Amino acid sequence: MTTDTVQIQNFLFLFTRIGLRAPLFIIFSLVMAFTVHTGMALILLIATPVMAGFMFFVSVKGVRLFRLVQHKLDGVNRIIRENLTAIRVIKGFNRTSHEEERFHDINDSLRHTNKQALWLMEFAMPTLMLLMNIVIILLLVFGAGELPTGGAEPGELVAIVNYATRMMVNFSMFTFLIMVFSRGQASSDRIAKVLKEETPVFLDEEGKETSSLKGELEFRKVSARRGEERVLNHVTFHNHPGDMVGILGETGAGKSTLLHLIPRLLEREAGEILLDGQSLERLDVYHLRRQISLVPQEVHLFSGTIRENIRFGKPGASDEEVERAAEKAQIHEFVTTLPEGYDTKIGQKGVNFSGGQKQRLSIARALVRHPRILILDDSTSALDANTEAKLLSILQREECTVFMTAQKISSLLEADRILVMQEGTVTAEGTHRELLRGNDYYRSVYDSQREEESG
Amino acid sequence: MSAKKHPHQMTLTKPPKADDMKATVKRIWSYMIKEKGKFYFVLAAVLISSLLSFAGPYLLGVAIDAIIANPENSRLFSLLILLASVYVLQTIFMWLQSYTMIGLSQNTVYRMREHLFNHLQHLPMSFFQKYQQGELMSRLTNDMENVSRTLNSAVIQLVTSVLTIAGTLVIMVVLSPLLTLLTVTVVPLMYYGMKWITKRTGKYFKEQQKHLGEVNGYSEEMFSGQPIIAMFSKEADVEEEFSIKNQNLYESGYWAQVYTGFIPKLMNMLNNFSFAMIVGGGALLALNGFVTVGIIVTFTTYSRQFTRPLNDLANQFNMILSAVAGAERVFNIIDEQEERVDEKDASYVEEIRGDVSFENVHFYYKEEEKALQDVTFHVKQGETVALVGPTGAGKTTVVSLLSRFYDVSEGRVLIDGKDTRSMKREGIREHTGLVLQDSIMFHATIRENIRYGRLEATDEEVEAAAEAARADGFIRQLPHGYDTMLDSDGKGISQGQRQLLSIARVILKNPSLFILDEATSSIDTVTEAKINEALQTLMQGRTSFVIAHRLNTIRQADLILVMEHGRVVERGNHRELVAYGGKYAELMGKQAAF
Repeated sequence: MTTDTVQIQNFLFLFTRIGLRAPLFIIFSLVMAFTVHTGMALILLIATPVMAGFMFFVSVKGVRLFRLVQHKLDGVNRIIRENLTAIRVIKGFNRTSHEEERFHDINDSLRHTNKQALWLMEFAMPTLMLLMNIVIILLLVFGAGELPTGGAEPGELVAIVNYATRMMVNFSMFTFLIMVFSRGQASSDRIAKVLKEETPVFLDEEGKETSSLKGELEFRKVSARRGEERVLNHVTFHNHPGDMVGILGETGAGKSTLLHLIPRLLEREAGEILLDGQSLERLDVYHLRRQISLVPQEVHLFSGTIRENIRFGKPGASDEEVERAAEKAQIHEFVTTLPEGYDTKIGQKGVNFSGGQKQRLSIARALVRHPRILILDDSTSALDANTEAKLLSILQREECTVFMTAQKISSLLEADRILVMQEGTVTAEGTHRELLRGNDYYRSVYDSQREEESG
Repeated sequence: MSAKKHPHQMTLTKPPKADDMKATVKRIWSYMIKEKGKFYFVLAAVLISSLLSFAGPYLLGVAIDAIIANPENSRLFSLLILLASVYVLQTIFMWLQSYTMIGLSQNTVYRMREHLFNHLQHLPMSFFQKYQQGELMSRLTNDMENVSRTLNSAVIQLVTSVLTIAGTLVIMVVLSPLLTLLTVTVVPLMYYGMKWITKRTGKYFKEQQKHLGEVNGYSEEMFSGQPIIAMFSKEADVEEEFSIKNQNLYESGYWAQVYTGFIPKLMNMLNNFSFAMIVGGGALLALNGFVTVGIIVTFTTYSRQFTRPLNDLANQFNMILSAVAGAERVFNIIDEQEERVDEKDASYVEEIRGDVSFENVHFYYKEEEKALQDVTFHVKQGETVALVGPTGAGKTTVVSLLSRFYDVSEGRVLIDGKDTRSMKREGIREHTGLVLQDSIMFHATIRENIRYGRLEATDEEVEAAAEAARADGFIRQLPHGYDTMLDSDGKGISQGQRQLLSIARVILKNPSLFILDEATSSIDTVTEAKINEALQTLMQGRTSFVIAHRLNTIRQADLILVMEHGRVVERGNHRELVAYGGKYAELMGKQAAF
C-alpha cells in the first residue's frame, strides 16, 4: 500500500508541475506562432495532434505493460516471502534446487516484461524528438521558399524555429510524465481496490448509551452471513446474567460468528438479539464494546512492552491493575521470571513468546478492563490442562458473563450451560450432565475424546 | 517493517561510508562485467548520440544563416539533408543506447536477484532466526527495485550529462569565446542557488523518509491488529495517531517539495537570464560583425543544453546514492556465511534404517546460551520417541540436530551407528519427513503441494498418498478438487486440513525417519480423528520423533523424554513415568482425572 501511494504521489507532483504547464506552454507557443507567421504556424498546428496521438498510444501501452510488471514483481516477492516462512520445509525436503528453479522462472519472466515496458518508454522520447526535428526541417524548407518572395522575414523564421524547439522540450517533458503515469496507474488501481472495500454498516446508528450491562443475552432465530455464505441459521438461546456459557462445535459450525455478533463486530441478517431485555442495535456500539472483552482465536499483540499490551485493554490502568489481571490470567508468575518483568518488549507479533503465553497475555488484556461480558473464542487451546483449569475457576468467580468456545469437552465442564452447535445452528442446550444424558451427538463427542485421552 | 526491533534481532543497517560506496559500486560492476561488450557499446552509443546532439543545433544555425543569406542557394538543399540525417542518426543511436542499457541493467539486476535468492537457500537456519522477516523482505524486494530503477537510467544520464557539458563548452568556445564567457557567468549563480536549496531540501527529505517509515510500520501493525482495535473501541485513537504521523509526513513532504520546486524556477530564471545576455550581448557583437545571427541562434540552444545537465547531475547523484545504499544492504545478505559445507569425506547415504542415538549431546546457539545439555538416548528402528516439556525446553533443537539444521556443539548424533557429520546433509534429509506445527503450504494447487514430497510422483501416486493421509475425502469435496489453489497464508482450508495435506506430503516421500511437531491449536474432533488415523499409517515401521502435545500420541510412544531447560529430566514409557510420580505424572494429572 505504501509503495503504491508513493508512486501516485510522484505522479501528482509531476502532474501539477509539468502536466498542467506543458500543454499550456504548447498551446501558447502555437498561438504565438500564429501571430508571427500563419503559414509556418500551420505546420506546427498539424504536427501537434500527431505527436499527441503518439503519446496517447505510448501511454495506453505503457499502462498495460507496467501493470504486467507489477504483477510479475508481486510473484517474485511472493516466492521470496514463502521461502522465508517455509525455510524449514524447503531444507527438510531437500527442495533447494526446486525453489531455485521456481524463482528462476518468475525472475526471468519479470526481467523480460520489465525490459519490454522500459523499452517502450525509452523508445518514445527519441521518437518524439525526431518527429519534432522533422517539423523544424519542414519549417526551414518552407522558410527557404517564402523568404525570397518576401512571404516571411528572417526574424519570423528564427522565432518560429525557437517556438518549435520550446514545444519539443515540453513534449518530451510530457513523455517523461507518461512514464511516471504508467507506473502510477498500476498503483492507483490497487489503491482504488482497497478503497472500494465496503465498511461495515451498522443496523442502527442512533444507539443509546448504556449503563452497566448485566449480560443477559437472548437470541431469537438469528441468522448471519459472512460475505455470500450464510453461516448462522435460526439460532435461538437464552442465558442468565453471570452465566458461563460454553459453546461446543466443529470448525465451521458457526461458533465464532455467533460470538462476533455480541460486540457487533458482525451484524445479524435476520432474527432478534436482546441484551438485558433490549434490542442490541439500540445500544451505542462504543458503550457496548467498552463493557465487552473478546479474546479472538488468533492472538494479536502489538509491539511494545508487556505492560503496554495489557494496558491496551484499559488505558490509564494502574500498574497494580495490570498485574492483578495478569495474575488472573495465570501469566503473572511467568512475567516475573523475565529479567525485565513487565517492561519486557514484545517483538513483532509476539515472536518471543510461546502460543500459550501469548494466549494468556491476551486474556490478561481482556480482563484488565473488568468486562461485563467476556468472550473467549477458543483462547485456551494452547494452555496445558492445569493452567486451563485454574484460569476457568477464576473466571467462574469473576463478576461477569462468560462465553467460551472449545473443541474439547474437558474445557467446558465448568460451564453453567453448554450450547451444541452444528452446521450453523444450535442443536442442543443444557448442562454437561443433561447433554450427556439427552444428546447423542454430545455423547459421541464425549466418548471419542475420552477414548482418545485414555488411549 | 515496524520501526521497533525485537531485542534479540540484529539490524542489518549501517550508515554508508565513502569507502563502502566505492566497494559497492565495484560489486555492482562485477555483475555487469559479464556483458562488458554491451556496456562499452552503450558508452560508444552515448558518445555518438551526444556528438550528434551537438551537431544538430550547429547545423541548424548554419542552415538558418544560409537561408537568410541566400534562400536559393543550391548548398542549402544538401545542408538540410545533412541536418535531417543527423537527426535521424541521433534518434537511432539514442534508441540503441537505451535498448542495450535496459537489457544490460535488467540482466544485471536479474543476476543479482538470482544470486541473492540462491544464496538465501544455502544460509544456515540461524540466519533466519536472527533477522525479522519484514526487514529481510524489504531488503530483498524494495532495495533490489531501487537498484533496478537507478541502473536503467543513471549510467546513460550520467555519461550524457558529463559529455554534454564538456562537449557544449568546447563547441561554444570554438564558435565564440566572448559569448561563451557570457553563458558561463550563470554557473556560479546556479551553484550557489542550488546549494542554498539542497541544504534545505536535504533536511526535509531525510525527515520525510523517517516519517514515511513510521507511517509504514504503524499501518502494517494496525492492519493486522484490526479486530483487536475494533473490539477495544480503539478506532478513534488509532485514526488520530495515524493522522498525526500522516500529518508529519505531509509537512516534511510539503516543504521538501516546496524547496525542490524552487529548483526549476531558479533554473528557468537563470536560463532566461543567460538567454537575454546572449541575445543582448550577441546583438551588440553582431552589429560589430563579430558574430552572425545564426551563431546567436545556435548559442541560445547551447546555453540550454549546457545548464540542464548541470541540474540533472545533482539529481542523479542523489538517486545513485540511495541505490548504492540499497545495493549495500543486499550485499550484506550475500556476505552472510553459508551453511557449512559437508565434511570432505562425508558420504551420501543411500539408505537409512532408522536406528538413532544421541550421545552426550550439547548444543549452544551462542556461547552463553546452552540450548541442550548432555542429552543421551537411543531409539531402535521403527520406534517412536515423544518429546514432552514446556516451550524453550529444547525439544525443537533435538529434532533440528537430527536433520542437521544445526550440528552438535559437543557429543555425537548417530544414525545407524554412523556419526551424522560423516553423512551429507542432503542424504539425511532425503530420508527424513517433516510435519510442522503450522503446516506450511505454498501458493500452488493442492496437487502440487502434496507433490512437494516427491517431485517426480504421478497424479495417481499423489492421490494415493492423499488417501492414505485421509485427505482425499475433503479434497474431492472442494469445487476444484486437487486443482484447488492454496494461498501461502493458508486461507481457504482449515488448519486441520492443512495438517492432513502435510502428512500426505510426507507419506508420498516415504522417509525412514519421521519428525512431527504436533500442532497446539485445537482442531475439530472429526478432523482430529482423521489426523490420528493418518499418523498411525505414517508412523508404522518408521522411526518417529514427536514433539507431542496430545496425550494420545504420548501414551503410544515407546520412549518418552521429559525435557526442561535443555536437559532430559525424566525418561521411560507412559506406565513407568506415571508410576515414578515425577514431573510427567504431574503434567498428566489433570488429563488423567478426566
